[in-house]
Amino acid sequence: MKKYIILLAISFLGASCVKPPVEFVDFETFKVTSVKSTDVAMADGTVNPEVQFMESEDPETKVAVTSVARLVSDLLGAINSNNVIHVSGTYTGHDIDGTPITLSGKLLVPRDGKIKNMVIVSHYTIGANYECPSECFPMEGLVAAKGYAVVVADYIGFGVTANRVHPYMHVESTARSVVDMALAVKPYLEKIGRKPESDKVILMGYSQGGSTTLAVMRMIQKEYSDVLPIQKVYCGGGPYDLAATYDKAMADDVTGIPCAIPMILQGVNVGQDLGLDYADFFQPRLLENYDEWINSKRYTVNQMNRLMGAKALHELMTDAGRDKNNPTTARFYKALLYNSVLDFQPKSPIYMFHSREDQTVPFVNAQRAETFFKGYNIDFDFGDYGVHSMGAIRFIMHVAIEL
Amino acid sequence: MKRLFIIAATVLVALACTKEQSYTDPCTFEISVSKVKSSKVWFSIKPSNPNAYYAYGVFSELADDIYNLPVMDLAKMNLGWWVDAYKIWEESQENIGTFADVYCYQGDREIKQTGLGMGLEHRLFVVQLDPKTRTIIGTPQDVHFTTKSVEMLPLKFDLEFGADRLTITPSDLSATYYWDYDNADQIGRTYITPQIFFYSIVDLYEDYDFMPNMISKGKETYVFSQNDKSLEEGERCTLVLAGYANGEINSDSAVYEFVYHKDKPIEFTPYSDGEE
Repeated sequence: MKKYIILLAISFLGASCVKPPVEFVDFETFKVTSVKSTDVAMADGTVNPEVQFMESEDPETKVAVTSVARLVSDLLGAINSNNVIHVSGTYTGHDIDGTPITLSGKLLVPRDGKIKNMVIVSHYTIGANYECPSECFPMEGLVAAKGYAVVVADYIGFGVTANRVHPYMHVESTARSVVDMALAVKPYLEKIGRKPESDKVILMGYSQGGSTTLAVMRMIQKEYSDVLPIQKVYCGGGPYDLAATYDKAMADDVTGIPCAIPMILQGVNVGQDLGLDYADFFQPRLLENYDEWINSKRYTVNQMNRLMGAKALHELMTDAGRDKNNPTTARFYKALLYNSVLDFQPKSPIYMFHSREDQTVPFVNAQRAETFFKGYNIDFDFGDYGVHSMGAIRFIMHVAIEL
Repeated sequence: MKRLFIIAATVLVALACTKEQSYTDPCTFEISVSKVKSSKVWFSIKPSNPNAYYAYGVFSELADDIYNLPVMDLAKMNLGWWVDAYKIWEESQENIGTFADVYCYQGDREIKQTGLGMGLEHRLFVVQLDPKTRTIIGTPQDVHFTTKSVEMLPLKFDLEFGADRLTITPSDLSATYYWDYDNADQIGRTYITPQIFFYSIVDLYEDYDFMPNMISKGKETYVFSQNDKSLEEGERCTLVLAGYANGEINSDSAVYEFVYHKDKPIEFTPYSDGEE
């Protein structure tokens, strides 16, 4: 391909995706590193405080508490097992260049009862390594209590690969980490006698995970539809169209998630080996500190945003970095086009959620998805559902209730 | 038992039908054409009632047997096509949405229609539908517009492939042009012709207001390994080139196939679709 390009074909034509060659790996490689059990709800009916929910945009506002309580009470009415087994483990997946690599993640299963399906989760944006699925009780793991095997990969750059740069929003490598883990966990579940009753899998993800979930769907449809047939896909609040997201942020000169700027730039630069010089993009303070703020994996998203200390793009990015017609920035912009995830025909039903009030992942992403996916069996749930983190709660509630 | 099956089938049919939405209060539309190019038009539709379902169609004057039909006849004819096409799709396509999902819109919409003929008068009509009964509500409305004419250049391209490199020399060195390539099998799987691949790429870049970054002028030498790390030794690619100026493709496209080599001259041939 002349220049990294995504083929956003508007008609119902096939999908195209350039990716590195992928070496064969033995997927029966899931190795357990720790097992623990956790109750979903406490004796007083409140959610277990260990559950890691998405941070609120304003940490001082406990806006999500009521919703979380509701979520749990709704969930409690339908759970099969209040106790969930957490299995952290490693597996052989694929590195960015397609070579084998040891990655990590978490499998959550109900302690008791049958397992209906495997739910393949793509997790939302995190910053600190202690937030990664293998290290915590991820919020999506709640649905395990309803009788599902929930599989959540850490992605490259977290868990056992925390010393690596996370290829944030490089959809090919991130989606492959997720698919590889599902392939590794499938035989493991059978081996431990917890094989799901149905071979069909459910895909789920919010925010970064929403976008990755569509990339996972595309990958499974193309390469693994026989072993991981998809029952339904749940995605919410996702940056499906990175180029449109860039354009909106530049036009408004503001972003709701400042840390995403260095994360995306690094992510696609590493993922596609673009050889970009960050000095062309970052203002001096960000250039001096991004490695500590982003790559140390010591800070959460809110902490990184606070450290960055600005939401206005002109305070974070150079003039050239904000101009997609600058030759260097144009290379980055093309990579954003390449990493958008709307260039395929969804062959399974999708529930797509987005709050119109989302300032972190702007609503334009949902509008683009609606345009590209028009005509397919997709339940678009767009409404005034509050800020991004509130949307996450509503999204999880919807999935938990529907499953 | 047979009776039970009939009842079950009836229930299933009823469920399938209830999936389709219904809204029958008539409304009017404000249709506004905002931008016209040689092959595309951008327009907005604002229904007076945001709950109304509506669909649209675009015809060029070339369809002279139906172009001048009364708008209601045009809408009825289109609705018949849509219903027939949907039945075929329903049977052949996986994961197809409802009739409303496929053909209808609700609320204010900004729409871009591509694939139009250059320099032709067109008629755009909007019709309110009840998706459940697949019937027309109220009176359809229409507007006319004419696509732009573009002066086509007799542009040719002289290609010189070496090891790992391509030099393009256009017949008019002052002309601006766009070229691109992709894996030939990929293009073959995804697009009916390489030209459609090319138009899709151009359309994508135009959508994102990114085309100015992609235009070449005069003689250009391209080193594959410096720009495209995904290209593999021996990979077969399709290359398409065409003049591009003032936001329009302005020459016939030239299509070639080549097999990439890093250390020996790249082989290339004019594209052939295999038909004599």
